Amino acid sequence: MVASFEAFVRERGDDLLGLAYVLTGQRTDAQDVVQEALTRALERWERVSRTEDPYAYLRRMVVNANISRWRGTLRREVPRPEIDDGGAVDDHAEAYALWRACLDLPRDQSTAIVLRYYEGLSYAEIAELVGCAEATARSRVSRALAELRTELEAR
Amino acid sequence: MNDIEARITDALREVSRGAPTVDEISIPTRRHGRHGLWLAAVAAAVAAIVIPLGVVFGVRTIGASHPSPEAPIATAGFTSPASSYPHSTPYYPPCRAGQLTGTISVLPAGMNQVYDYVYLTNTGDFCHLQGIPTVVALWHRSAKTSDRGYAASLSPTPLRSGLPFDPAPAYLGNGDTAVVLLVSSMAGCQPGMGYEPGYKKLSLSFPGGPRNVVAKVDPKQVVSDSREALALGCNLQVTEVSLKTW
Repeated sequence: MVASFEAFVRERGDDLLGLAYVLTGQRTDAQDVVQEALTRALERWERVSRTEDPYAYLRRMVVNANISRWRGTLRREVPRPEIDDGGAVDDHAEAYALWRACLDLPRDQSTAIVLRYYEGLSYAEIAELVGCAEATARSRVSRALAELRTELEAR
Repeated sequence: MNDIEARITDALREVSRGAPTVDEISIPTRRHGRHGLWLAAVAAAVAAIVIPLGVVFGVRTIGASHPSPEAPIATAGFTSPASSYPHSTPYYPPCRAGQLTGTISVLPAGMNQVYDYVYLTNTGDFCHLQGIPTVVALWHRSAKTSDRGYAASLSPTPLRSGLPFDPAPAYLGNGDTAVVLLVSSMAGCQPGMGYEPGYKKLSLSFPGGPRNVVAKVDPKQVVSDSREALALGCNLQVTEVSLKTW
């Protein structure tokens, strides 16, 4: 059990922000998503802190918040934001290019990729987190990998 | 793990180094909830006093003569004496639904901001912009933990002095668009700080509960107004935001 909300944020807040940043491609969006998740978590922290893995709970909130944000964006037909890379592209061009390619995938696939290869989740865990069948999670990752492989080979 | 998987893992870990850190956001605390209640209590008290006084002294309630066919999304707001309005009817187009409360909370608003309290007002100078209902944020403050008490006790009165506008209710309904000027007084009053261009998700506090809006921050519309800076004794950035409920 996590002692307090503040302790949890100190301990895992950066992890959540890292996940949110990789998912959204924008520092400000990552801040928004995590802040929203933390605010909601705080309201029910007594219950959240008693769960087996509070980070997993928050991770789910972050992923869901990003999906909601994306759906809302689609409704308003807002262009996808450019990656906010803080000017680091030149130094790590391949990494950022691959990241951009991930974000250009269909959202369910890019989410699956991030959860699989950034968070290191199993297919079963991804499926449970995003609410789909394990086979679906596996399929999303597989299709995303195929797309990314093609993208890399084309360069 | 094959090559492509390893490359993706490495790439995502690499780029995640550019992620913001918890030091860049304010962490919500339970104090906010109590202050939210304080704020609601203050707003209710102000409304209870000001609105009846407005009736007595001829307060002009914007849009009151144009009842909405739709259910209002908010039912409380601040009023000010009619004589204080620099312009009259042409600048206060009737809106379709709802009365935006005098206070909105913004979360999150960017670095070191979580809960920002903003007073929305109609103004003669601004509310005819683009022919759409316009409200102006009279005050906007970064509410770090240490500031929340101040934010919670905020009332429109102290900030009216010296500012080019007065608080008044605005009427907005779902789907309406307003132009909001966010007067951003950041921690330390650093010049040039404010909302970054893009879309910000805001949460407006209505009597019936919070509602989400999206604000588009257009860098071309960012202006600095030295009058506000002078009035509040620090550098401010006034950012114009298109605000739309959904």
